[in-house]
Amino acid sequence: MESRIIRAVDGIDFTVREGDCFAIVGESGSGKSTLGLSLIRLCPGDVSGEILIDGVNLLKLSEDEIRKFRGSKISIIFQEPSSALNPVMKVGDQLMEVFTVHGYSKSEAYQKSLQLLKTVGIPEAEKRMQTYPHQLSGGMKQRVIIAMAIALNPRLVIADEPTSALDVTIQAQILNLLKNLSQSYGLSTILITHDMGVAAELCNRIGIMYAGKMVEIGPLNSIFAIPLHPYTRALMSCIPRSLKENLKPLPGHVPDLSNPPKGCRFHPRCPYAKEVCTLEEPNLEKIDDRLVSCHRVGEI
Amino acid sequence: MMQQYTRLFKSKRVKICLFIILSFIFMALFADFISPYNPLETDLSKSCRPPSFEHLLGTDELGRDILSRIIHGSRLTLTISFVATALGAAAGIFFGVISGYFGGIVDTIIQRITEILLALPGFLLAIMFVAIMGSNLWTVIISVAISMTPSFVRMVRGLTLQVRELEYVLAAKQLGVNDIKIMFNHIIPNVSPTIIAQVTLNLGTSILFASGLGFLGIGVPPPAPEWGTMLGTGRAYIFYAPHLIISPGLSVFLLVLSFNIIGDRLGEIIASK
Amino acid sequence: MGLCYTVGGKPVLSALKYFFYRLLTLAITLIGLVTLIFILIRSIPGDPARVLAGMMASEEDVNLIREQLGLNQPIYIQYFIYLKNLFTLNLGISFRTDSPVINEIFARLPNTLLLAVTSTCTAVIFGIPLGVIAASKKGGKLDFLLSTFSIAGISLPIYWLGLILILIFSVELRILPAGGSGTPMHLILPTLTIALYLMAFIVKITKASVIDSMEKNYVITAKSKGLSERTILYKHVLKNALIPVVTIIGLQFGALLGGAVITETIFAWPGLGRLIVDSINSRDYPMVQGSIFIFALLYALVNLATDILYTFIDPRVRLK
Repeated sequence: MESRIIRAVDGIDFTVREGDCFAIVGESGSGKSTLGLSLIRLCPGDVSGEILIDGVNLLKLSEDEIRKFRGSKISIIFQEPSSALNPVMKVGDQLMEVFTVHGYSKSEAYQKSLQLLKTVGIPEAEKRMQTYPHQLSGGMKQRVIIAMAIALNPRLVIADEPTSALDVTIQAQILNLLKNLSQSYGLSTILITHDMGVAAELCNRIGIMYAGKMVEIGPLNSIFAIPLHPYTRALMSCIPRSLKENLKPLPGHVPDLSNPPKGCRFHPRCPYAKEVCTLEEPNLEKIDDRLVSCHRVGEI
Repeated sequence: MMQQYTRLFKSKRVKICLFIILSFIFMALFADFISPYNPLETDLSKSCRPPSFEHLLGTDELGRDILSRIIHGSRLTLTISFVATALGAAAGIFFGVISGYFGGIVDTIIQRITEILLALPGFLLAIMFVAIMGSNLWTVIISVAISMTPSFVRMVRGLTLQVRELEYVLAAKQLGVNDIKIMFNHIIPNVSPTIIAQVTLNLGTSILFASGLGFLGIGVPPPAPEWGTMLGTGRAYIFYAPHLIISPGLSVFLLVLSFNIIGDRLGEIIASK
Repeated sequence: MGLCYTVGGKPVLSALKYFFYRLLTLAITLIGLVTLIFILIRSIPGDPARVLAGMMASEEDVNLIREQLGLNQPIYIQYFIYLKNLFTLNLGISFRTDSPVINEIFARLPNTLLLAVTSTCTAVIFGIPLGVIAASKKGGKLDFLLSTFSIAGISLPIYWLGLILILIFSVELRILPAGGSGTPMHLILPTLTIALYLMAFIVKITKASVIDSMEKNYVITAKSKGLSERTILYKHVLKNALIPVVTIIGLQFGALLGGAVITETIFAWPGLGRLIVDSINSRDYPMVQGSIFIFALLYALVNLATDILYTFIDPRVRLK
């Protein structure tokens, strides 16, 4: 087999302030999940650059050091609650592991886990500790995973499509839970999603990602008020404002990242593309309170 | 598809195994020309001679040249292996596809019969058939074929059930293409890669079964130079003529190993698709 | 809710019902098998009593058979007599020893079971750790070595392996008996002969299963909690990986019985396998039929036991 170098994520630069929630929004295939895994250094490929938490560069840590970081300083919530839990291990044991691996005693771990299950809204916590994952519903499983992620009050929680695999009614509950938790714990969160609505629900700053690059970063309110990048606009039109309004799917799809288009990566799908867009790659430019990478930002 | 198979031959192991199999096939085809002696000619004055320049692998208890018997034996072994596997696989594919494709009562009947045959482990099933039908080349072939049929039926049925639900098969059905055409044009080509890997592994297993029967004295009867039968009679002389059991066993081992390695590799290639 | 089997959290059948359902299908399958034997024997051209007695049998023997099996009566009555006899374990009288077949079988059965237990244990004790090592060193030299051993072990004709072991340990080194029974020393070579195949097979499937489990999402979750690779392998991956291995070892019991027939013959081990071969060679059909029936029964019971064991080790399929 020949191997190709794929730059799933390229030249991403952003900051999450303490207690903030930052959303990364993009279509599937835009490199969001790769970015999420890279942040916690669980991505199988190479990552270069800097990932700083309280001034510590995660990419410079040894394998042992990053392991101590995972779970305690930085944690992640995955998309598929049913496959993210070990099917043959009791829920309680899996939860307690977060504590025991970071130096807590068994009894402390048990007490804290119990408390945690109550915090994330799981009734009959004692009983639930003794059950296996398949005995819980999807929403309950996701609550357990959220409990694991916030267990040690980490500096940063990455939530990778935390609601996409759930039923619509459950989605709202989980979103509410995340919102409450981030308020009461003062969590700093990175939310990865393809859904502008979900981002709007939870976050105060968003970054729009396309084909491994950020195309627009800024405060939620101003981006929602006036989206500047053509791709952001296209995404915005994907949110149905009322039930009558039909979803307008964006024509075309995310390019093959092993061979991205020249110039602006969005130009093949962009209704405003001009010759310059096919030749030169735009840089993120500061416009008022945000950053946008588009050659035609002032004109359209 | 072809690319998958060219990938097979890139492995050095596979090349060596193919070489071993082709050598045995060559021996089988040209046994009459390359074997130094008549494999059935006895000479009691020369019994149990160790390997020498005259007899490269020595002679057996009746003074027959072991090398000549191995060479002629490859004919028997390969015939049994290829014919039994072909019969077993053909029957398995036939009943498996029908069972999976039509479902219903046909499926139920075929599955119950399959279960009955699976009630005995494969080798014991072969022993049972030989015990009832008697031992000769054809009963051995048929017994070995029957012993591998039920697992083929199971496998092919499972694959057919998956393929049957594919959109283009459903579409073809909707368009009124007849069932036999669908089975030949869509189902069989789709399940064939997995079947090919299984057939390759079965070529090895059938050799183990057939020569196992021979070893127990209920396979191809003597004086035919069947490797298992040679081992079975040779073991009486193990204390003073161990060379009687070395070469027939090694031949079985090499051939089975080669089929298994190629079969495994094929399986891996199919799985990685 | 009472006793319940659950698959993925959904109750399927009550445990007791499930157990009886399995017993019932088992009985039907066995009836099918003995019916097949019945049809096969009677489809051989000629007088079935003569066929059953063998070509060399005396007129007296042939008459004895005719009487024993009710061969003078219509075929369906013969069939019911035959079924009734089998299920009351009245397996007939051996031509060779003139004693009831069932007595001979029960005398031999413990020896075969002993061999089955020692070889399965040996194979599991060595096979599983070696398979795990091969998986954790995937692509390395040790993995290559173990994989080579595994495929060679699976391809090795068991009858040849037995003879080679005799050649090494009995003929050359003279430290172990070449055959017979009675002391633990007699057990070593037959056990090794059967165990090697099984062990090679277990190495192969354990390795595949561990590698498969290591690619699951819960492994990434465990990593994100800060667990080390080692802890993940032992605490998370192994338990998941070994569940299918247990089932497959149960299914391999069939291969083990086949191996026992050959191994017992090589080492003159007085078990059921050698009994069947001796009976075929002396055309003792009641004994052949009886042994095959007992082999099938044994095989079915082990498969049933594996199924039940499975419900204990996999929490996803469990009694509520």
